[in-house]
Amino acid sequence: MTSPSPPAARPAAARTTALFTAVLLVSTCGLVYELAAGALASYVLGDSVTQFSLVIGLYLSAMGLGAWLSRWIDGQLARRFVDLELAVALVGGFSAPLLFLTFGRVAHFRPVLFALVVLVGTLVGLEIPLFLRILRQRLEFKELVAKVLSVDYLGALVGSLLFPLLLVPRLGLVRTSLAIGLVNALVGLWTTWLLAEEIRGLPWVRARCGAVVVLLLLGLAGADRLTSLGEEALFSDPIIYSRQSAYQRIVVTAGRGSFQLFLDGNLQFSSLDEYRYHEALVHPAFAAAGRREEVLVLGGGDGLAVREVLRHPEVRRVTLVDIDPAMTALAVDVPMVRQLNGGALLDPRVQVVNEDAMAWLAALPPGRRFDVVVVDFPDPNTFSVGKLYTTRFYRLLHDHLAPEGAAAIQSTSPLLARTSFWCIATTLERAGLFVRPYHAAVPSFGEWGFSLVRRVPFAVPSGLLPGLRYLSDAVLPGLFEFGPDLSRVPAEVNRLDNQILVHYYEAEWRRLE
Amino acid sequence: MTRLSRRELLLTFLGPLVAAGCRSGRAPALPFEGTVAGADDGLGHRLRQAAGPEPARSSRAEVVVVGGGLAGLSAAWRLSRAGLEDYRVLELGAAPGGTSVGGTGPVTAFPWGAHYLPCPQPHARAVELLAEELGAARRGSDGRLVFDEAQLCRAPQERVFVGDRWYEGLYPRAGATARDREELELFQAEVRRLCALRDARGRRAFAVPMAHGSDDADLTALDRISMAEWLETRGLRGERIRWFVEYGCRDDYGLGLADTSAWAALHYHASRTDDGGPDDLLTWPEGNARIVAHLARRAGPRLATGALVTSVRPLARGAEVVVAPAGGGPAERITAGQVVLAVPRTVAARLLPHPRLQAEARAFEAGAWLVANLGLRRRPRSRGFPEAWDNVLHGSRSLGYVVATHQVDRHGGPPGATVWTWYLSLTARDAGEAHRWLLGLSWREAAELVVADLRRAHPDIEQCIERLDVWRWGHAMIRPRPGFVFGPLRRGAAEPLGDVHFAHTDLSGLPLAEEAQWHGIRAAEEILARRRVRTDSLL
Repeated sequence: MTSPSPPAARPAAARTTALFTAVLLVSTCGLVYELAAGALASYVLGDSVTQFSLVIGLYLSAMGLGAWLSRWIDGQLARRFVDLELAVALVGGFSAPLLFLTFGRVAHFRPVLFALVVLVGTLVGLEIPLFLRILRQRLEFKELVAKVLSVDYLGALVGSLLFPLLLVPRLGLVRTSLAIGLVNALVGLWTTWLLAEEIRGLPWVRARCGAVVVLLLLGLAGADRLTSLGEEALFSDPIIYSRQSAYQRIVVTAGRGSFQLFLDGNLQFSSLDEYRYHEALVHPAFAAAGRREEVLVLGGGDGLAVREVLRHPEVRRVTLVDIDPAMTALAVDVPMVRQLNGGALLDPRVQVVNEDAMAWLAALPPGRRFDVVVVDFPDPNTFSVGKLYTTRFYRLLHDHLAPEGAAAIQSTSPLLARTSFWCIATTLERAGLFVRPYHAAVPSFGEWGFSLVRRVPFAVPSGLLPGLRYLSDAVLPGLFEFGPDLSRVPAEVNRLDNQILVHYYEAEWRRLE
Repeated sequence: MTRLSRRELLLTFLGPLVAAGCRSGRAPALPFEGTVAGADDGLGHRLRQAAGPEPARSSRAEVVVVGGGLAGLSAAWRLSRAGLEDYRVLELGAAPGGTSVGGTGPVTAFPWGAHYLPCPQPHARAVELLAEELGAARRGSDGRLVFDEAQLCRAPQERVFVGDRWYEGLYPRAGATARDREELELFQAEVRRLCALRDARGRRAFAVPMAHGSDDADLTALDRISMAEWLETRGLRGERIRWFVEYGCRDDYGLGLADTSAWAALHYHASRTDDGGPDDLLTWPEGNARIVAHLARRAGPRLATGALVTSVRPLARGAEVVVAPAGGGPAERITAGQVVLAVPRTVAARLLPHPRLQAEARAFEAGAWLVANLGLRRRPRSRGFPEAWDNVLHGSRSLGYVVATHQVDRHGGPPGATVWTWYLSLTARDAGEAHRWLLGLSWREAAELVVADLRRAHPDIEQCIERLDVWRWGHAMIRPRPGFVFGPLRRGAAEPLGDVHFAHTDLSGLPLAEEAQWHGIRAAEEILARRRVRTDSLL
């Protein structure tokens, strides 16, 4: 009979190499948490230099705090190290999902972020001092310090390379943090073999490791509910916010000093150049309108068009109709978006209505008229949005536009979807409106088109609000000129019972793919 | 009837493709509730045993209309327009409408039967008038009707599920061979030719109402052959073209290709447009119950529901109607100058047991239908082309489903909630057998049929259903088998018997709202003529 023999004592050198590998892994993980927090902070809160410095500073000082606290940890060092790894795995691993979930749901995101940074930093700060003490008996002090610290810094290099090149592009922030947590937990588990003889109650310790590994694996599986891997691959920048509302998938990505909003995968704006789009959408209609007191914004739940509207001092009341409460909540609750729209939706002059624009207009009392109407729907790529570009809709718009009023309608790209663009103009004309199409260059979108309409014939407007970043009275007339590659093409009228625009649009964009 | 196993049930009602996908053994309990209803249950059949108590009271009316479906209500509408206001309409059901009834729920109204009205051609004056009264059309400056965009069926109108995904349109183009496409082209060319064809008197080959169409012998000869034979003589033998054409037969007539008159089948395709293009349709969440509600409002208190007529007797002058509350109570004898019997011929022959009517009743055959309304809390998964108004499953014997909220921008439920109305016409050759099958069907069996049918296209449909209600129509719609439409019995059936006039869509041999309206107006105008009321005909 042979009894299970205790693990043959490894050659001391091999075991030491293994322990240094563990140090390398641990320090790589530590750096990735730091980078993830820094990236999230700069994405979410904007002003990347300040946020990044703040997070790094906090994180490093928290590590210092951890190192200082390590003096109160005594006895059972190996076991405590395993527990520490499990704590880092849980807190660090779930930090990004937690931030992802709180972002946009809590009023004060910053305290949550900083508390997490301090907590993870402190735990990570405990790691190296404990390790040094565990290895104290095995190596001479000068060799120990030299080796551990050099491996630690090497780990930092590995982490700093993996994070931007492999982890974030492949996994996204949420999965990166969970995967790194998993590495910490596995290091903990591995340590129970490397230092088996120093750990009492081994099965129980290993069971705990197993439980944390399972939790993190569950987290990885559940991460699909936040963002799917396929979705991460779809966007060129990391996703920092994503919600499936009742109507659409709302995704915010951030990187390279700006952030972007996507609805169902289609870019709505980039913080870099949205001002060009929104100035072009809003101000020509204000210049064309006889009065500017009652304003209606249809779509545009991001609040950016309302921001431009509120620059006009004559405006007394703005009604914003956007079907999706999740969109208007995003405009108010998410700091980076609220910063960009200047808190427009909180202005006392603004009333937010979450309703289908067609149903809302149809239910409006006949006498209710608006001086300026801004129509900012997503492009007509589905039948449910396409209905908002039909004669039926534009007749309702006509009926609720003041006789002296003006409306501007985002009309997709006259360059990339030329027939679609002119189909919108044709449809507006059929609804009895006078149309002046115009276009503007918005780098994120390309050449973008709009339709300015009134109930009476009118000339190209002038007298823009002074002090705009993009538009001025000097450049405005040029926007109404269409070169040969943009000029009018024949198109059918878009009606509820043909939705021809959706077919045009799909054909034109498919050609580009 | 012996109990069918689950698989046999699917095979019988929905065909081999749906049955093949069925899990064997007893299915787990369905995670939703519902009820079963049907016009034929109880009430209608009480007619057969009705000995008729001696009426306790008597009254008089100038005209009594028996039957509050579209035909009866249209007769009343026509009388009112001519200033004849002393009439009564007696409807057996709890609500008027016949096969155009609808229902209501927290999310939306929905149809239980007929659910659209094709935009009329200018020759159909009465239908045009109706559309104007409904606020669905107005007269344009050129004198032609302009239809309200909001009430025209929105795009996308149709999609078809083939293989594993949905495609736009009704014809299953996916996977069609060159020969399939050629056959479709041939069929469409023939339809275009028939749409453009005018006879020596300038009438369309096929028209709605059919009375406006040609009765040339070479066209009516099409009624003597089946649609299967017609396709065969043109060499159209492919599965796809046959499925496509048969879908029309099942949808409008509840018949298979071999049992449908070729004239009737071609009428479906070639009666409504000049160019064979797709029809423009008017539709509403509650379907044709919208029309019923309008006509019922016009009739006002003269319309009585829950009124069980037990006999109609022609007198030397005028006629006598005995009616009792359907829920029980004393009967009433109404003596009228004229009576309009706006009920199916089979019912007419029971109320008025005249040898002519009884002979006709044997030739008039109505098909059985199963209709289900699915209240959905959210839309199920769906691959390919997005949801349309009419959603058809290739390879199933069901007719697919229509979406009640297709025409509305705002409804009473959470986003994504809706009601789907699923239709199945029982095309069994023996209408009696189909009827017995249908009445033997429990709620659970019916619900399983619906779920099994939809699961192919929507794997998670069961989890999306809030409730599922079923209506069993024992005798839903007249079936135009070969020889019926232009046979002697159908053509003579509209002739009055003394002062009893007849109105019902089955007098056309085609189950269409416009035909019901036409016969209602015709019967009313016959009465107006007898009473020497001067009025221009709306026909």
